Amino acid sequence: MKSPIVRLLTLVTTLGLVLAGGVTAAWLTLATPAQGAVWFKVQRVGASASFTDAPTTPFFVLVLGNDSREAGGQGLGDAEHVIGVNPATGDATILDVPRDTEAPGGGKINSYHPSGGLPANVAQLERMMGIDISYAMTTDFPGFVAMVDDIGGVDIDVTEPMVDSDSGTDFQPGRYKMSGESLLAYSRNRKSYPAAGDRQRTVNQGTAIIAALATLRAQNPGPVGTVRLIDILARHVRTEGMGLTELYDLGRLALSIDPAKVRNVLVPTGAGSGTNLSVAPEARDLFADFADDATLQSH
Amino acid sequence: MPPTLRRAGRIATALVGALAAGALVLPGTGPALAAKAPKAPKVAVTAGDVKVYAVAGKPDALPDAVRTGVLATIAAYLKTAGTTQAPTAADTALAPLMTAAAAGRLTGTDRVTLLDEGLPTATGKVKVASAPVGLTALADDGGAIVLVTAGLDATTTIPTAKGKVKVHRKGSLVLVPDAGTWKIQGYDLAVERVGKKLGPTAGTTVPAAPTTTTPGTVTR
Repeated sequence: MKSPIVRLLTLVTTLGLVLAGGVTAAWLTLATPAQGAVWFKVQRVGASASFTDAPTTPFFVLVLGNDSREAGGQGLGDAEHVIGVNPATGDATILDVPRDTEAPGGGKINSYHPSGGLPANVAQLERMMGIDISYAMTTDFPGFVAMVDDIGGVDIDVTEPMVDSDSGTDFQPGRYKMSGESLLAYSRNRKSYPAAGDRQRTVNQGTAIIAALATLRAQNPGPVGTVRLIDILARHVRTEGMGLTELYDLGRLALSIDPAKVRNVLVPTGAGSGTNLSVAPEARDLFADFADDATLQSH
Repeated sequence: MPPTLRRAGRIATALVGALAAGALVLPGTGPALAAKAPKAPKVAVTAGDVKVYAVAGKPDALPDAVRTGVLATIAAYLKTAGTTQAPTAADTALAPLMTAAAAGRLTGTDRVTLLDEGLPTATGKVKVASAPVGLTALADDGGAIVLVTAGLDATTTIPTAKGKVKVHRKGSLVLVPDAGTWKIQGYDLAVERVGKKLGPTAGTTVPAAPTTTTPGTVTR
């Protein structure tokens, strides 16, 4: 079994950058993109109409960090976040799924990515939440570090001391511009939270996604800048089932979302079999609230 | 004059009189109104700065066919937006210029930004002046241009009975290849209309769409 540190390193934070229109800052900071480095993979996985075809229809995206330390690897899905976006209202919701959550098909949710890739992982989350996920994206450890560094870092607020040698965190409360390594450390730290542990870490990953969105929106590239951004992005991204136009549309949408209108909510869990966590009964209402329009009205 | 000719003359006179009276009574059919119908202007749109971002390094220039197709769509849009007053006619004219998804938004809050409906009737020649349109294109790894953004800065001047109405439309259009032509898929436009006694939908302030952050701007 890989060490907890390694398993956690991948964390989803990275992928949120993409949804956020991620690489917006890259074109501002990169004179020459690092050729060959793959930041992440984006895949159309759903049967529903694409965002391009139905630009006002709510849709769902899986943002998954896998724990592979090799570029392009297909490791455990240790950071799993389902993001619902309502383009008509400009609202978005991040549901944070602890990695040990029991999947509908049995076993931990994080075990489906190594065996079946994004489609298998998506299928389990769709069953769990009663939704149709249209897009999925994943990154590995090297991709995470490279992308965050290449976009110039992410501005994020640390609200309480985070000091943990295992994760590499050494942060006191304050505002930071974090590098790829630092943001990974922030995202994988659970030992600063003796009681909440992995649950708080999962929430922190969602916070990092929102921080990335805010950082990138501040660049305000506009349509022309976004074209340049997508050009750079396309040199570092592997896509399946979708083209650059769709990527452009998603980037423009992401950049239009106000971070203040993004909810970050942990999926409630309880004790399950062995080290698994079971989806708590109250999650049923949460999922129903999420499924109808990708936003939460009663939670 | 023979009686038959006199009778024919009286009939002709009566017909002319009836036509003249009808023209005054029936709305929209009279020669006076016909003279005020806006005449479709000639819209000349030229390319300004052109930049191609190519994932695979090619092409390094915008193909002529793409340039021509994109500019033709922009010209047709400007012509339609500023001069087509009847809603049905506007929709019919715009449909071939927009992707299905973009056309679907014509019925929403963006309509007032995309079209100049409700303006006073033109009494003379409508003029459209467009600054050179900057084009930024994106080519996929096969070298095909898959998307073009166009920087728009155009003013439509409409002579009316109450003076000139000027419509200034500025922002970006996003065009994609669709069924052999270039169609508008997205837009980021602000429109300002200036003139005396403009109606509520044609005033100088344009209602903002829900996702708008700047008054008068619609982003998609």
